[in-house]
Amino acid sequence: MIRIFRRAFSQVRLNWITPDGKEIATVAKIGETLLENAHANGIDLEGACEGSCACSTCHIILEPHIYDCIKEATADEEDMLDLAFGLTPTSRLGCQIKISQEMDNCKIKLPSGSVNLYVDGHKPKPH
Amino acid sequence: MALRFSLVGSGPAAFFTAKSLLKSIPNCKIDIFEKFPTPYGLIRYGVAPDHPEIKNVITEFSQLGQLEQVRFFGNIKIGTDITHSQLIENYSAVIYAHGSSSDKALDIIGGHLSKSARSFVEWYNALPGCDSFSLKGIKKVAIIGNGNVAIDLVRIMGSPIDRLEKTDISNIALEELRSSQIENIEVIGRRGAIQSAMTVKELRMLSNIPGISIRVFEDEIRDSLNESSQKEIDVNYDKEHFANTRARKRLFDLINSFPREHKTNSRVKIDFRYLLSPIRYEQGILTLQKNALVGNSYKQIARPLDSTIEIPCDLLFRSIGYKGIHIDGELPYDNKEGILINTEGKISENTYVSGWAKTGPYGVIDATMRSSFETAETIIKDYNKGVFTPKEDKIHKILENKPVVTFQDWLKIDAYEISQGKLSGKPREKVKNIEKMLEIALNR
Ligand SMILES: Cc1cc2nc3c(=O)[nH]c(=O)nc-3n(C[C@H](O)[C@H](O)[C@H](O)COP(=O)(O)OP(=O)(O)OC[C@H]3O[C@@H](n4cnc5c(N)ncnc54)[C@H](O)[C@@H]3O)c2cc1C
Ligand code: FES
Repeated sequence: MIRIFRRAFSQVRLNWITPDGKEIATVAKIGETLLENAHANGIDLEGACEGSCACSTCHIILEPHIYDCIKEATADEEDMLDLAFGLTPTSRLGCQIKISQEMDNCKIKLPSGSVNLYVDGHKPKPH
Repeated sequence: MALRFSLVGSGPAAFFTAKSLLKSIPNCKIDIFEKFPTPYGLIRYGVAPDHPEIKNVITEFSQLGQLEQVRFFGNIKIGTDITHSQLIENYSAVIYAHGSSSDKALDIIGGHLSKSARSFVEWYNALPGCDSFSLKGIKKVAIIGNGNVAIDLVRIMGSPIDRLEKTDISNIALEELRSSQIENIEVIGRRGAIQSAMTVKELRMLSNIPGISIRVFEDEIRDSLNESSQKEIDVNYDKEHFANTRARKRLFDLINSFPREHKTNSRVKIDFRYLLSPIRYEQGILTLQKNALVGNSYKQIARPLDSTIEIPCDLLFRSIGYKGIHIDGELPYDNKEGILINTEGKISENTYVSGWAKTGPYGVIDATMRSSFETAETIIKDYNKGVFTPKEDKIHKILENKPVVTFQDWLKIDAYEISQGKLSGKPREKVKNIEKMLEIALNR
């Protein structure tokens, strides 16, 4: 009985919102990362550096109340977010967020990917 | 007969475009042409050896390369071995993803004595046919430009050798760096600290390298902070520029946190200099002209002032940008930007472009990926309109006499490099010449 109780509590429901507005519901284990959950469920979230916080291709957008209550980003993650395309004030990296109970039923938005890269007239810096 | 797509180049742009096409166009066939026997472009020959995380992307590319629908034609140069018109004849569509193969010249007196940052990168990454470098007797180095490539150079030259020994750096470069006597590196920016071109991640990583010291100059920081620049780091000033402002502010805060004096006992001393443009390099002396910033926020330019300074410099690097080349005269080329002229990745009927060949040599892998996905979307729209015709597989006829390296062949080179690396505790020791690669690959 207790085990079943625990298992029910170690899972949450996530609602992924694709760039064209479609909603995809997934079940997630508490403690796995958002990137892992996306990949396990065929959500189009890239993870070019395989979760080592070095590429920002796993950029996602959270709802403000979730952004405010989960653990803050480290300086390393903030540094990568600076390079994320279409950054918003509630952006995070999917590979750095461990799913927690508070996230049950929350919405996770995938940034609209391939719109014109230089939309604000600023060219990304030469590399 | 099938829908056949050819991709020119095998860097991230090619693989990300291929990935999207495979997902959306069932049963399409993809042929990837690469001038080197080895795939992955700048992931192999650009990204620094001490950045293994970014190279993780190869895992996915390798899986794509091994799909039945995908073929790799290594050692085939488009424009030479196969022309654009031959590709058009044999494929439903052609996608150029050949990156930016050249770099910009330094147009000053003595500029020809400068070395290109690109060639140094190619040297430590063991690109076949790259220039060689001797660091003997070199104590003072200056780098014109302060983008991430400049930071890569500083990190490689400033690292304690044991930090590099465990990477896939070329053993020739490793031995040269082992006996390096470099004491000073000046990183020179034309504009102010707030317009620094590097990303904060790279600068923070550099600042954490043991044994180095970083310094900035108080007067240059002060002159950087003019009114327009202050707006560029004020996150409340212009919401439109939120992401950009945030990034600049965080970068500036890090730069401004560096001391104005060097730590004593540091092995390599690094100066980040601002508001200086090179005008002459003669007899080991680099002459720099001081600049002032003028113009509105985000559009400021450097205006030369009357005064100059001189710094001693044994080795001068130019790190002022990569540049595209025009690989086939039939393609419309913008010489100023070094890109193929396109709209959302489309050049003309059945001809497209992705990655740096499309955007110019800017941005990290995330930007390259998104621009490749945009091109793929454009292609998929055309596919849905039914504009592509299936083609027969006849490309081998053109390549009859040319040694082609397939993906399976590349995997042999890959395995060989990994086993050579093991001998000295490195993840890989890259093969440095094409003949040797072909010998390993084609020994069927
Ligand atoms: C020095 C350096 C360091 C970098 N470090 C990082 C980093 O740490 N993190 C990060 O995210 N990004 C980094 N980048 C950026 C990243 O490398 C680019 O975003 C990305 O490689 C661009 O991809 P691409 O496919 O357009 O071009 P490329 O990677 O250049 O690929 C082009 C390919 O086309 C081939 N080719 C060229 N001409 C022909 C021809 N005529 N026929 C056939 N093939 C041809 C080339 O050999 C090459 O393999 C770095 C870039 C540089 C220059
Ligand atoms: S997967 Fe690269 S930063 Fe998250």
